[in-house]
Amino acid sequence: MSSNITLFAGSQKVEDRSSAVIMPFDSSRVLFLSQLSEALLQGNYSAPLKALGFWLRESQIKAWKEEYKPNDHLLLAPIGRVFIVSPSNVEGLFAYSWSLSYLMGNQTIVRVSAAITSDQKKLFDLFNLIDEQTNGEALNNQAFLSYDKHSDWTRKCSDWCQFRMLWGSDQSIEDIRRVTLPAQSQERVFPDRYSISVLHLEEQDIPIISGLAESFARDVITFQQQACASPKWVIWYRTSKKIQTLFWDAVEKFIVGSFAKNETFMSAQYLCAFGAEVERVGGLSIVNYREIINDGVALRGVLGQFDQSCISEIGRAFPQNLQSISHYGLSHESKLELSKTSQVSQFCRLGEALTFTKNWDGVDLITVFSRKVRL
Amino acid sequence: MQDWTEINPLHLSRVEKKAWLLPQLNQLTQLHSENCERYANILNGTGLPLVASEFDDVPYLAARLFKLLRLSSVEEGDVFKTLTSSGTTSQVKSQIVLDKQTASLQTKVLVKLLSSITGKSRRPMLLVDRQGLTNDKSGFSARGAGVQGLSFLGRDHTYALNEDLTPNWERIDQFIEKYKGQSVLIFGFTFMVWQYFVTELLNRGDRSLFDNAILFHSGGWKKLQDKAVDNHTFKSTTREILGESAAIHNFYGMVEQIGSVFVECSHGHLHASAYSDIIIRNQNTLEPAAFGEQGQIQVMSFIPRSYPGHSILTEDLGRLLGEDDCSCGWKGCYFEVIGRLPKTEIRGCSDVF
Ligand SMILES: [Zn+2]
Repeated sequence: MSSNITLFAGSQKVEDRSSAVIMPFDSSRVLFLSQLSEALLQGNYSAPLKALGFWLRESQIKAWKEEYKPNDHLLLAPIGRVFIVSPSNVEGLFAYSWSLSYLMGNQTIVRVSAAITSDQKKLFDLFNLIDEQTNGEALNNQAFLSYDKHSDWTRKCSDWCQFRMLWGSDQSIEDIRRVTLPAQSQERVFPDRYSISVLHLEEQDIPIISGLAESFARDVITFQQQACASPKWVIWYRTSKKIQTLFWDAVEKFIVGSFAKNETFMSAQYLCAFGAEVERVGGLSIVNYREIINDGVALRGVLGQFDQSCISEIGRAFPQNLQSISHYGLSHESKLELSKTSQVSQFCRLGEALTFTKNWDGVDLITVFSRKVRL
Repeated sequence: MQDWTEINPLHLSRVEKKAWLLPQLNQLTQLHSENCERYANILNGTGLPLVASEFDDVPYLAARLFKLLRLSSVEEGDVFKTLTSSGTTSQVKSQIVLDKQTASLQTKVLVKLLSSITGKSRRPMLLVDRQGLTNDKSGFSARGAGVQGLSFLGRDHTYALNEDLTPNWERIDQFIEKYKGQSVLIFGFTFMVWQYFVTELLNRGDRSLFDNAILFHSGGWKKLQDKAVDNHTFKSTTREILGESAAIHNFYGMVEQIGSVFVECSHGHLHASAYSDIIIRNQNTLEPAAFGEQGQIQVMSFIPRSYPGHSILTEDLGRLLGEDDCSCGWKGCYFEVIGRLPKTEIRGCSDVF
């Protein structure tokens, strides 16, 4: 391997195609991930890393093992060689997708941005520490590296892999896709997405409105509304103005000071330029408009809102790149209707919009990182 | 109402300025709300008034909007050129739509303002930039516009740099030879003046080259701060080279308001002229801040007619030091620029799951 790369963890031997085959949920890999989980939960780590630790706890992995256990007709086998491109500025993302690829028994190359965050560094330090305890066995066919995007490494890794997974902005995904894959290789991409809240609050919900507002505020504050799953518009479904006001009053208490004034000011002016009107200004700007204004500009500290009392109309109002609907008060039937009329790939409760699950963006990640072998 | 050309730009007191500038700004708010739909939408959507009775009440746009939207108050056919912000590495550039009238007003105001400092006579002029800069027709840069505007103040224009921004010693030496000991005018962007001119001449051993040289420079201190060069160091080092009698004026201006710049006086303060005004706003509330209090800088100008940029909230931080009573003798609000708002990390969608 040439010199213009940085290896943060794992081994460059990953390129060797003849490494031993490991089946999904192999005990050595379960052990590595549960040790990682324990270290994250017990050590002094940031909230996003703790969340990763919680997600990878041993009981969770066991539950997955049970869920995907082979039967007389079907078993899971590894894909083989996996290449994951993870975008810049991500503390947790590459670890989530990599850990599932690892758990499925694959050889994995993960490309991360050269400018790693302190969280990423801590995570790699931990990887290396646990790896050393296994004399480098655990990660000897995994590699976490960065390279200049103009180098030929995207080409090399794309030729090498049997499955390529790309996370990033539409632009960076289109750039990488110019590097074609061999015919025998598969690909899955996770491009720009957009997320929304649908709230259906009634008189009986007033006593719990503060708790709902706190959860909602957490979804909005985390990652400063810049994650794909961060809510950016609120659609009020059969909710009175009075209750809407109570809700925003409560949200304000939890959101105060979370966004720079300059951001909420600029964001509100931006949406107003297209015809929206400011409803209220505080720690967040709330604006009204008859439909979602979504043209890819990363706004912070602003939420658009409108009322809609017909579920199928709500579905039609959503953008094509819709991902999550965080909601309160949607019935099962309403979810079915929205699944039919929109591109939604996940519903979640308030406060859980940014909680990663193995079913993400419409895909079961355990399934995509493995082969279903018919017996 | 007095014609702007009859005003002495650095000697208008608060009362006179309000009587002159505020109606101009109100007219511009009206003009843009009639001709720029997005601007009208913003005023309407945010409930801002069309007519202000105080400078504080003049509606202001977030400067970043000019990076996200094309805001124009003229027909496409009347667009003379579109200025883009330059000198930064950020991918998104501001777009400033100019018609002939506004472009010409920018230059005239700049010349009127600066010649009230330099006097009417045109001095030999050294431009610390590369020669081809103002010929770039594609994507006319603010740097180019600045150089072009300033060049009206001088004669025998000499460009000090090569295309690769190294000093063109042949031209520089010719200029020094010809005008040694005379009063010359020098202009360039702060960082370029320091890096490609002052430092180079210092290393070569040039000292006390001119008599009563005037240097205007602009563009911000960010890059020089990284090199631990402050205004004081900049001035004292530059005076070593140009001569002790050199007058050195920094000026502050937004690409959105080229022309009505804020010039540094002999006491080292930036002044609002009669053509512009400044408000410092508390960065947490956007309420006007008191003298001495740090906040976000809002700039106002009577120039922009082709785009709604007459009142803009910048992302710069500053502090008002006083008004009409600076010991330099100039009128107007005087202030200092402290830096930029803390950068909010740009994180595109799906950069985080
Ligand atoms: Zn002064």
